Amino acid sequence: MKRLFYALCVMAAAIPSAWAITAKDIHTFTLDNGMQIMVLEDHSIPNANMYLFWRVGSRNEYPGITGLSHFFEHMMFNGSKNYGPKMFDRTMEAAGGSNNAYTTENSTVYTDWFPTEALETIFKLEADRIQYLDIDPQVVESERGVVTSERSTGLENSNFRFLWQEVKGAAFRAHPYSWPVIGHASDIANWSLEDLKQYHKTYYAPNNALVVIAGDVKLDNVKALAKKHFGPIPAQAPPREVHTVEPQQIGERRVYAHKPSVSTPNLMMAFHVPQTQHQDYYALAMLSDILATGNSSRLMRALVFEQQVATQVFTYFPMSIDPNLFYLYAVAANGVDVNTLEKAMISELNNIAKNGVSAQELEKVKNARLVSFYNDMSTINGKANTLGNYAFYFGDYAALFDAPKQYENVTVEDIQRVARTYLRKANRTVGILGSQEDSHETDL
Amino acid sequence: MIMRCRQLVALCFVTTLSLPALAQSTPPPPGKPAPFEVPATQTFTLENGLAVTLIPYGSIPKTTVRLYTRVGNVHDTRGGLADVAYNLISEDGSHPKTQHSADKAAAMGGEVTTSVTEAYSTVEISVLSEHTTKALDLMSDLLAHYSPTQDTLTRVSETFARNMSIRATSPNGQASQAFGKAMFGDHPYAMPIPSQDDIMAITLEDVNGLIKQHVTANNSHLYISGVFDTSATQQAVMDAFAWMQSGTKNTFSTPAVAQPSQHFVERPDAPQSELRLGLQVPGPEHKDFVALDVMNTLLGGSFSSRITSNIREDKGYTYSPRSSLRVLPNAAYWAQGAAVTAEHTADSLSEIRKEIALLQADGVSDEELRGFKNYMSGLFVLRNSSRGGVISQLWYQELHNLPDDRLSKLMGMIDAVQPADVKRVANQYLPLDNMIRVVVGDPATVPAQLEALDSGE
Repeated sequence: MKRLFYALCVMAAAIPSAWAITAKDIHTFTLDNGMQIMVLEDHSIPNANMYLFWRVGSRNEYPGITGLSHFFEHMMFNGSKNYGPKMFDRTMEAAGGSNNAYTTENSTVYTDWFPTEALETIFKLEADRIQYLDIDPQVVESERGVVTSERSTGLENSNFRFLWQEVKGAAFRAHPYSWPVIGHASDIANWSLEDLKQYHKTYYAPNNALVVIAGDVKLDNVKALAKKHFGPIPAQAPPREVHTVEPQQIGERRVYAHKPSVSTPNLMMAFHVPQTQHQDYYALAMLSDILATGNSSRLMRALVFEQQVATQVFTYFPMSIDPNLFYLYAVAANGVDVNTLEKAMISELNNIAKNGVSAQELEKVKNARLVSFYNDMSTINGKANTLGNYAFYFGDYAALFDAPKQYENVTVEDIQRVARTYLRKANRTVGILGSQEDSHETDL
Repeated sequence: MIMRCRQLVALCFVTTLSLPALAQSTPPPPGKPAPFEVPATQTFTLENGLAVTLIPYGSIPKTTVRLYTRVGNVHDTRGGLADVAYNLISEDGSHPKTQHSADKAAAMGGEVTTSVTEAYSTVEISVLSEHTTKALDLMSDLLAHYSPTQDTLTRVSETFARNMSIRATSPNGQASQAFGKAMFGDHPYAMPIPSQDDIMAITLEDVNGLIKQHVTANNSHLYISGVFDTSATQQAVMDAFAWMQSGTKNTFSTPAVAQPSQHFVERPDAPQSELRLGLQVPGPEHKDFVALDVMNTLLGGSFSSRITSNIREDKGYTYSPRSSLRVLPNAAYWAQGAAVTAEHTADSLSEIRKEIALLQADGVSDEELRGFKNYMSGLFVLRNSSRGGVISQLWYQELHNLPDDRLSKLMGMIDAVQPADVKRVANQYLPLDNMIRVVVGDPATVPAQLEALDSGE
């Protein structure tokens, strides 16, 4: 297994192709207004993309305006000074492009894909909505309905999302990671226009953005267009820092939720872990893989194939600015009591904490990590997204090129250490989603 | 993470409607789409009849191996049989060559995955290029020595049954089931969700029989895309798949023409109603299909499409409206779907119908149409920009017996569609009186809305 890793490294060094980029291929510059821009020239197809990472997510909200970051992800498509309602999508699609956007606890990201010749049009579109977004009261009301519909659809169709918001709410008592990214229903219904205007001014300032442009472009042209269209947008005072630190959890927390459509119980465990920039990030990422990535992973093998107490198992370990949660999720097999499933999962976690993992097991996930990494870097979209995420969460895109070495340096001792350190009872929140209320004869 | 709309790139829509008067500026005149060359391919046939297509693609040192076979849910002799049989391919069987397949694939940096649709199924492995020939051997072993055990069959069946029971109770599953039944009646394309009893009745004999009967050379096509040694790979394919029985190519019956109908499925206390509105249309072999595809993109298939603009952006009734052209061998249909807030169920249906009627009456301007055609051309480039994407496009061409040069000509065909074509196909293929309508919603509030809508109040 070891051989494969070295083979990959050799290939990466030997193939001077579009996928095997190095830090030297990335060009960065900062406009006078503080907007940071990264450019990667890749001429493999006659297309390019622009990813705009905004340093605003649900962690920047507070009770009363929860979900506002996500709401802006919608509002940013609803018209600005020079491109009225619907004109953003219409103009981009007419130029042969398409777009999307997503919001996380930490960021709001806008993604544009387009033929190279549409580059200036994209700059114009983005600059206009950054500087001149039209927060029209009628549009705001309409968009509240869209987001309410999105919230209902998500909670109805996704047991994970349903349970996730319960577990987050219990695991965090102080930090804004406590509430769901989409926000509380009452906040969605009650944001004021003033809330929206202030939020846009504060967070959609050029000094709060990281822009990645990858594809069939020329650096000099990108620089000129960026200065022309993004340069005049005024900087704003830096947003308020999020200084709340979640107090250490000192005992297990448990939540029980119910939803009639649940066929077999769903189990979630969430453990507090450090932020992405912490030295344990890579070991935790590999622990996540060892536990539940692929059919040969620990939990899949034990819970799904051997003991047959679960039909589905996965882990969720998001990149994060502040200390966040390491999630384990399982769906009970037919007729299996959720307590049985929980005990089986805990037994597997204890096994790793007590006995560690084998060198072969670790090498397997190292290989998988590298293959996944190369997959991410195989398209211009993947390159832009990956570069942006590393720059965003590690503070420096160079971390991307250091990642293979960081993964290779993780040892079996590291895996055991992080399992012992973080996967402890007192550090976990357990959530159970069943079809009926968890009630007993002795309950009130 | 919450996304604005996760499925857009996979969709092809169309809309028709007057532009709002609110626009502060006119978009720049759309230009011509950039030229794009479909990757070159090399196809050969083994002595047993297995067609193999090699697609040297990209520069990342990975290879995707995907075997398509014309077997799907329409061939189920028991509900869910194809799904269960294919799910078992990546599980350990009793034959030594099928054991530890997950570890073997992981050692090559990959994973064995399978998929099942109405008409065809796939087995796929993506690996590092240096393991291409080993991946072919592994796929061959898993199929040649297919030997699931009873324990594994029981476990896989239970998991599948559970997933189906979840689907059967979801608003989307309820709507799809009712819509499929109305569209295709007793034809297998109706795709009823199999019951727990059906699935648990599947035997080893059933799954072995399906694989043996259908996974044959003449009924399959192997695609290899990525970076690989062409001659070594060709030889490896000939060695690995020589065992395959020739078999015969499956054909597909044509469903009867659907009649218009209206259906309401009760979902007590549902905060949203799940809508389907659609009808059968010609398939991709028909001369009007590309115009239909453009019309669909304009009507409901993109963010700026007319129906989406109306019921999402203007009215705020829904988060995820979409229209699509669903294509099956010898059948196709157009459908608009949306999950709308319960109180606006009738309003949403009314607006959808208005948009269709407006397109039929007034057509589309050349400028508006040009924008959607450019959008489709842009999507075409994106769809062909990955190893798997190219394979999917080639298989689509083969499954529907389209000319070999269809892909290379498609951008030109889209470009040739004129406003008169869009108006004509909207009138010819989307007559409002012929629609099938399905609504899943709250019986306490929605039927009264529908009654008022239908009575013209």
